[in-house]
Amino acid sequence: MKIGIKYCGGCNPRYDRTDIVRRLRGDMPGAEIVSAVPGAELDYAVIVCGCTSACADADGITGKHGRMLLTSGDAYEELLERLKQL
Amino acid sequence: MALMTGEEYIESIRKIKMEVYMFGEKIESPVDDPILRPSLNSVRMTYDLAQMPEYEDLMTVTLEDGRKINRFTNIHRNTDDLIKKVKMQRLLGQQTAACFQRCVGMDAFNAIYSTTFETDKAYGTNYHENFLKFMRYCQDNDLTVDGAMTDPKGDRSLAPHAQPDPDMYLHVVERRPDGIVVRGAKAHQTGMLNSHEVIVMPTVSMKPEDKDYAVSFAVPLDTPGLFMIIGRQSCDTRKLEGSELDVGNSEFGGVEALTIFDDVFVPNDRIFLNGETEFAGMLVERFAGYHRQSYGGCKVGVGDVLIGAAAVAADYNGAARASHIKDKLIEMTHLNETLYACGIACSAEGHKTESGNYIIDLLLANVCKQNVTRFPYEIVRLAEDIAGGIMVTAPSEKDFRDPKLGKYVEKYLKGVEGVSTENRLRILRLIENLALGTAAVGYRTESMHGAGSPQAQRIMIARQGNLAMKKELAKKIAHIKE
Repeated sequence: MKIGIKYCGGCNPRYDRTDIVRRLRGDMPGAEIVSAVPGAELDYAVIVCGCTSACADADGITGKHGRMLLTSGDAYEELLERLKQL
Repeated sequence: MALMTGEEYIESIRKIKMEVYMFGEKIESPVDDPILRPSLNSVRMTYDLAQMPEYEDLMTVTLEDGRKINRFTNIHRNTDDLIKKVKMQRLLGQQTAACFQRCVGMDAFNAIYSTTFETDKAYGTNYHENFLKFMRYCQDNDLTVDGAMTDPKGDRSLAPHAQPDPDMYLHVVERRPDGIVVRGAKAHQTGMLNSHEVIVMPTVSMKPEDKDYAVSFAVPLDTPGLFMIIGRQSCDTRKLEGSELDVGNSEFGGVEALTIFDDVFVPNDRIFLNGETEFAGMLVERFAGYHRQSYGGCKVGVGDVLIGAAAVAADYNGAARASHIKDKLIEMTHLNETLYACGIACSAEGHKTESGNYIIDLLLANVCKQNVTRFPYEIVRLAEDIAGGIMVTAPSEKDFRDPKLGKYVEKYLKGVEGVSTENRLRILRLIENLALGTAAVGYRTESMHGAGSPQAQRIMIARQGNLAMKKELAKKIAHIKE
């Protein structure tokens, strides 16, 4: 599975955004995790935003099975659940 | 050319044979000088972060033609660009706890973009085309550009042309078929030393008699006749002592220079204004507006570090649970976020210029900067209050490392259990650095005078404040009929 990651710019994050990706790499060792760019072919896209303003420019970034926008580290379990169901 | 890495940026600056003086001596390799290097590292962060996926959304812009550029060379296309500029500046302030210097070029870019467009419309000149060519060169080569505005000004009561010494404002001394020759100086040039190019702009509104002073252009830093005399910073020579601890922030810093233009030649295609005096004021006002917006980002990021440092000092002192300490940290946060709110507000309320780029709301940008002339001082005062007097009386690292004295410093400067004396000293020195060391140049006095002194904002606030409408509101509510 190819998972694309798009971060916001990180001006005032409320949690460690890169930790989400570290955990994903650990919990989904078979997945290919790449930086998401608009138009790229992905199975799933994860938009990792540091706060609820969620200002990442994610236009054109999505996966075959959709995408999920994270604005809190607590949402990681839900993300993992979704990915495991694909 | 792709975006430069931080290392490529440093090597590109190393190759520029600029003329730099400090303490009466010529500095042969500014890039390797221990006093100057931290300032280069701060600019380097604008390149390093642009390479990192977790920051590139703020640090870079992908243009409609597909080119990916550093946001510092961007022309704002909408209010979202203006907002992201402020967020990027906050991020860089957080990452460096210093002035990262590259904003001034970005603000000059955007002010000149719209002003040259309108000057050409009025006069049929080709300044906008000149600027577009220069802008493209900077974008494609990922260059750092200094924006030089402040002239020495001599007798402040006199116009540029009326000064006893005509060089107190930079001016054209010769017009040739292939360009102009300029003479003068620009003071307080933050980041000039770490730039590839400099954009020069006038510093005040002008009348027809000041024609030779209404000049704007760009030249590379190794242009003959251009040289810099580095400004002193409080505690600057601590960097020569080899102590990482005592300097507070050993990796990052800012730098300022008195920059002399001693009969510098500017070719025609690098000229953006040349005698059209009525557009000098427009350029000054727009640049100042953008730069006053900038302070609602950069100083907030530095403030984030200072608030964090004060909170850590409180932890190490065992005072974190005291209600007055908690309240002081709240007050610091309140002040800092108020600055940020102003930076975001003037961006969100921005509008399109005739040229198509976006400019901030000038009233809100000036309110932003007016607050910046005050709040960092109060944030520093509260940080000093929380840190305690030891931040300015602690012995040196040399004493701390001394076989005889070290054990006494270790013993008597210890705070809470579980925290080393060294770590306590480190956080205190960081606060000292920001409050009254080298970084205080950027965080305090630059907050006062950078992008214009407080009175300059008050003049703009008076102009933009819409007092007539407010008076009408009052009369209507009071049922006054005149």
